[in-house]
Order: sequence, then C-alpha cells, then structure tokens
Amino acid sequence: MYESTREPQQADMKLVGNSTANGGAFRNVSITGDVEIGGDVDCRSFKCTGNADVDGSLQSGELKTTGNLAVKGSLESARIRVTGDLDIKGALTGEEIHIFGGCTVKAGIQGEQFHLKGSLQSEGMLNAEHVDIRLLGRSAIGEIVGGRVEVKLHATHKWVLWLPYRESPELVANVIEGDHVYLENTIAQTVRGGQVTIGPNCRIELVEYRTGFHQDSRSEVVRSVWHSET
Amino acid sequence: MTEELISKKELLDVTGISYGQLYRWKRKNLIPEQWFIRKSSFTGQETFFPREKILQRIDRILNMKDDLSLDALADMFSPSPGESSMSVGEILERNIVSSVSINLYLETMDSVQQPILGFEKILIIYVLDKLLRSGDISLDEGRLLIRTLEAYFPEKTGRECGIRLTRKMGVAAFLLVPGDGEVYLDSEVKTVARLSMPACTEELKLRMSGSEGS
Repeated sequence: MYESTREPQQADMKLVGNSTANGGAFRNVSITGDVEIGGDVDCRSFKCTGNADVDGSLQSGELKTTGNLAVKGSLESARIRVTGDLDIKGALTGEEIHIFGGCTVKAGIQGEQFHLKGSLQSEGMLNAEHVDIRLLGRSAIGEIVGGRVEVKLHATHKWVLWLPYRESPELVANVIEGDHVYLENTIAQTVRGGQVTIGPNCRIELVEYRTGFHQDSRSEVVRSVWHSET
Repeated sequence: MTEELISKKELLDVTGISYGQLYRWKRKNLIPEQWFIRKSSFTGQETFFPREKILQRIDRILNMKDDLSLDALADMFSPSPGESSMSVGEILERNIVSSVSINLYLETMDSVQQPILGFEKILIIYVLDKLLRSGDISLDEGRLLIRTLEAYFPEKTGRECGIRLTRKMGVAAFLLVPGDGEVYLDSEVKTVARLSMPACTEELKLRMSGSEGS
C-alpha cells in the first residue's frame, strides 16, 4: 500500500480560507475552507475541513476529510476517513476505507476494509476483503466482490422517518460475489458465494451458493442454484 | 488456436480456493487484470480465465505463499523487470544461463562491454539460452534473435510480448508479437518455437532469486 517516500524535510502545506494552490509533494497537508489544488498531490497526511478540489491525483499516507473532496484523477491512501461527499473520477485505492456520506467513484474501488454509511455510485468493481455497507439513499455499483460482503439498511432508517434522503435506500448491482454474503434492500442480477443470506427487501435474479443459502420471506429470488464442491 | 478458457466457477472447484482468496490475489496484483475475461452467458455475465496460465499461476501461489509474502510474490509475477544486475562471472557461477549463450551475446554486442549486466540484458540472454538449449535454433539464428530483441524489446513491443520463430523453406524469421496474441501466417510457414516474455521474466526472476537454483 502507498506509503509516501517523502523525506522528512519536505514542507508542510497549510491552507486557510478561500484559496488556490499548486500540487506537489508535501509532508502534511491541512486545509480549512475552500481550496482548489491545480495538480497532483503526494503527501504523508492529508486533512481537510471544507471543500477541496484536486485537479489531478491524490496520494497520501493517510487522509481525513470533513466536507467535500473532489479528485480529478485517482485517490490512493492507506487509511481513508471521509465524512461528507467524495467524488473521484479515477480509482479509489486504500487499505482501510471509512466513508460516512455520499461517494461517487468513476473507476473501481480496492481495499482491505471498506466501510460505508451512506450511498455509493460506481460503474466499476468494488473489491475488498470486508465490504460493509449501511445504506442511506440509493446506491448503484457495477460489481461487489470480496471475502465478506454485508449490505444492510442503516439503523436510522428503522426509526427516523423524516430523514432528508428522498430516495428509498437500496443498492443496485450487477454481480455480488463473496465467501460470506449478507444482503438487505438489494437489487442484483447475480449473487454468488459460499454462504449466502438474502435479508429483507431484496430482488435477486440468480443466487449461486456453495455452502449455504437462506432467504427472507420478504425478498424475491427468481432462481437459486447449489454448487457442490467436487 | 484460440486460448482455452476456464470459467470462474470451475476454477474455484478445481483449485479449491475461495472467492475471497481469488480477489485478494487480484488486489495484490498476483493475478493480472487482463486475465479476467468477461463474457455474457445465459445466466448474465460470467468471468473466464485463460486456462493454462491461471492454473499454473494459482498452483505457484499456493506452493509459495507459505515461504514468501504476497507482496514478494507480486514482485515475482509482475512483468516489470527485476532490479538486480549481475556480472558475467556471477551469472555463470550461479548457472543462470549457459556459457555458450553468454559468449554468443557478448560477441554479438560491440567489444566494449560493461562487466555488469542489467536485468533486461540477462533476460535476452536467458531467452536465447532457452531456445538454444531446446535445439530449436542455430547459433546464427541466435545472433538474429539478439539483434531483434535488442532493437525492439521492450520499447516498441511492450513487456507482454511473445516471441515466435518461424521457418519457411529453410529461411528463419523471428516475430515479436505485442500482447502475445495470435498471428496467422500462410500454411507453408512453420512456427518452430514460441515463448512468452512475461513467462520468461517470471522464470528468470525465480532463478535469480535463487529459490529454483539448478
């Protein structure tokens, strides 16, 4: 995973208020306010409160933002913690990814741990050892693959009815694959896995499972096939 | 001859690995993206793999993953060159290539030679050595091969390239095929030898790292 090779004498960048900056290599980047960065950024830590617009790729050892972060290129960081909106035109790569809010990634997402509370839009593939999605709002993604895949309704949906999310919380995906799969409020073409559990409010065309399959009565599974291990 | 494919389902059955492992290795670049071939089938989309390559790769990974970390394995499988360089003496001593091949190479190159050879050069000698050992080419053709590779590999052809040796009416010709795709030739042309550079790179790395010393 990406660990910045920057020497310790590399400068810090601190931006406050409404400003623009050039990209480059830094040690720590900290942003408060509304900032446009006109190029690639390579740093050890990237912290932002407010809006940041990166016109290039962003590589960082760790990344923590509150507010909006838009990246024209790809985002790569070992630890990613985002509260707010994340908009990436390239790919998102990390080890531990925590997102609370909306997330749009044009290309694929790769990581070891992927935790999302909110919504996600991506045409690519989400590949992580552990995928944990708590749905708030509508999400759509091409493919989800990994070891353990869990998609659940966010807990607030069960007791707060006046939430500002107008769209019904659901996940639309073509393919979901994993050794352990648990799904709620999901519409998918194909779900393949070892142990597959389809929770409430799902509509799945085809389930292929190896060790076990369980379906909630409030869900619809058109066809389920068992594959023996030969 | 199109490549034989294996479906993901069958692959998991045959090798006994899980979805999680497969995707973990993909994340770690142990299995290249290009091997995931998507095709639509009657159940929607299915993923296929080139049968030979993937089975061999998974076999390797399963055998070596106890000794090496996944990152070290990824380095070994990546088609990018290794960083190591060696002197001529060291190459011979460790028996990486035969002295015939190395002499042929040195003779083809201009007389001024730096005693240390970079990975690229060793790779060319290794390919030469492989073909010479198999008896598919003569020394003269070996010289031709060296010149061909020196001129075009890897700048023009890319690293994922294939080498074909063809003969027609006793005349030999080397083809470098970017991407190692299929080439269709007239029926009188015989393909005598066929090698893939990524596979050779991998073998050479193994040899140089010493875990497969011969």
